[in-house]
Amino acid sequence: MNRTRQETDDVVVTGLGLVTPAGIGVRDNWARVCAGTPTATEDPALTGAAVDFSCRVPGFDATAALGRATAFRTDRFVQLALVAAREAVAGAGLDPATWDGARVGVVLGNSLGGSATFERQHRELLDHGVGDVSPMMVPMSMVNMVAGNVSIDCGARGPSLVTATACASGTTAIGVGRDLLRSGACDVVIAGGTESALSPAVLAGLSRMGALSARRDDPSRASRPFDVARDGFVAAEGAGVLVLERGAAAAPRSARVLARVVGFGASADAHHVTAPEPGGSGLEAAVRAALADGDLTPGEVGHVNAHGTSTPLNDVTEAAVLARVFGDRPAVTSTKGVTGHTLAAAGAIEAAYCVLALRDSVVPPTANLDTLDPAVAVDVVAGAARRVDLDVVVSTSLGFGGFNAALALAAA
Amino acid sequence: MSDLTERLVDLLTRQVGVDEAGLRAEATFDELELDSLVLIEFALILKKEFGVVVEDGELTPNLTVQGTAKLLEAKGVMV
Repeated sequence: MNRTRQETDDVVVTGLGLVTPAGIGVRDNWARVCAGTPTATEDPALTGAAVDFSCRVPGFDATAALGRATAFRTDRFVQLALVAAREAVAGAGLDPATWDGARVGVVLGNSLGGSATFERQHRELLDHGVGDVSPMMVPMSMVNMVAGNVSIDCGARGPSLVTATACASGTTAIGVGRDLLRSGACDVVIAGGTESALSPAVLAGLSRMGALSARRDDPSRASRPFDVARDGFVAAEGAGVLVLERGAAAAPRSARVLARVVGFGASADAHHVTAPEPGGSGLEAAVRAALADGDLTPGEVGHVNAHGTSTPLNDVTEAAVLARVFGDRPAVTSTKGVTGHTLAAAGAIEAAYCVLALRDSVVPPTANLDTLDPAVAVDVVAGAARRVDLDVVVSTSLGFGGFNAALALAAA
Repeated sequence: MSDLTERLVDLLTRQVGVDEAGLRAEATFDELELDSLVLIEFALILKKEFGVVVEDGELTPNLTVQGTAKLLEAKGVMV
């Protein structure tokens, strides 16, 4: 690439945190994703619902992880993010007890907030009246509270916000975090995304939209991005957090740089509230913008972590864009075959997987990909993880409302 | 500590997440670091647990755990 920016403008990744259906912690996550083992399974909480399977974080104990007081005061979507953020900050070698909190920002993506809390409290209102509604309903369910709680937890007093671009929220958060760092407003940004909205009304709504896979008889095989037999996504929960720093700030403390954030692009389809623009021109613009932002040529990109939700529309539209921009060179994968679709968290979780791909020169496989859709003309990794020397990887995300976001990461 | 006070201590530790170590019957809610939101929530917990209505403002920051037991007894709660 043509490095036209100064080194001091470099934004680097120094820490990762992951709490997803693939596991709690980076190590377990990466192992599961590289093994390509799906996580979708029957969900006891959804028994009798139109869709009774999902991808949940296994064995998550908020009380054990965060203490009773925090577990009591927070919805699950915040709890997942808190654990992921703690892992990322610790992994970056940063200590909230000693850092200058005024120079630490929090930018996290979320779309549906504490829907489970909201739905429970709405039921209390309907069944028992105003007096039985929790006073904590609002602070527990507002989307911004994930950034608020992470900020409280680690004493981050710099610019903090939540980005809401639906399923592109996590990618958007990393782009916004990078821009905050470049602006000089802070030295560290805790950037990522979270979602835990596997609540009855939300799932009913998604089901009624026809967005979800109906493969009730075999849920583990339901999330199958780019496969000819795909029929919708599997709803999932999770959180992914990256610690971003300006290279000049990370260097003096000898932080281990995991990857560099070299490009970000965003666009809107201005087309439809749920369907992507059929020609994919919006996504194409975002991807090309990310490449231009990083002074990159398509040929430099060795791997694309696609949005790849396993819906009929998304996967074919996205594949066409990737083919137009990149040809058949990069190894494409969708890790949603393993994790399901974590909605607002997806872009951040997938950015973390991109960092790990760069670190290990490994592209994880797309799970459940038995027969590639003939309309998909890109090289999708299936069956087993593939060793690929990687310098630059791209992650793409698309969100309801026509939001497109693309991130380019380079090896450290 | 009366049985009712013990029940309150149990609710405060198990549900609200107050640290057992600092939890004495004479501790005020302020000392236990329970803010106004949590106090309203605790009133709701007491309603569900004992079936009595604790009005907004009856659980004050300087009320103790023991004092709360007396409040509930005055409302007819017996354990």
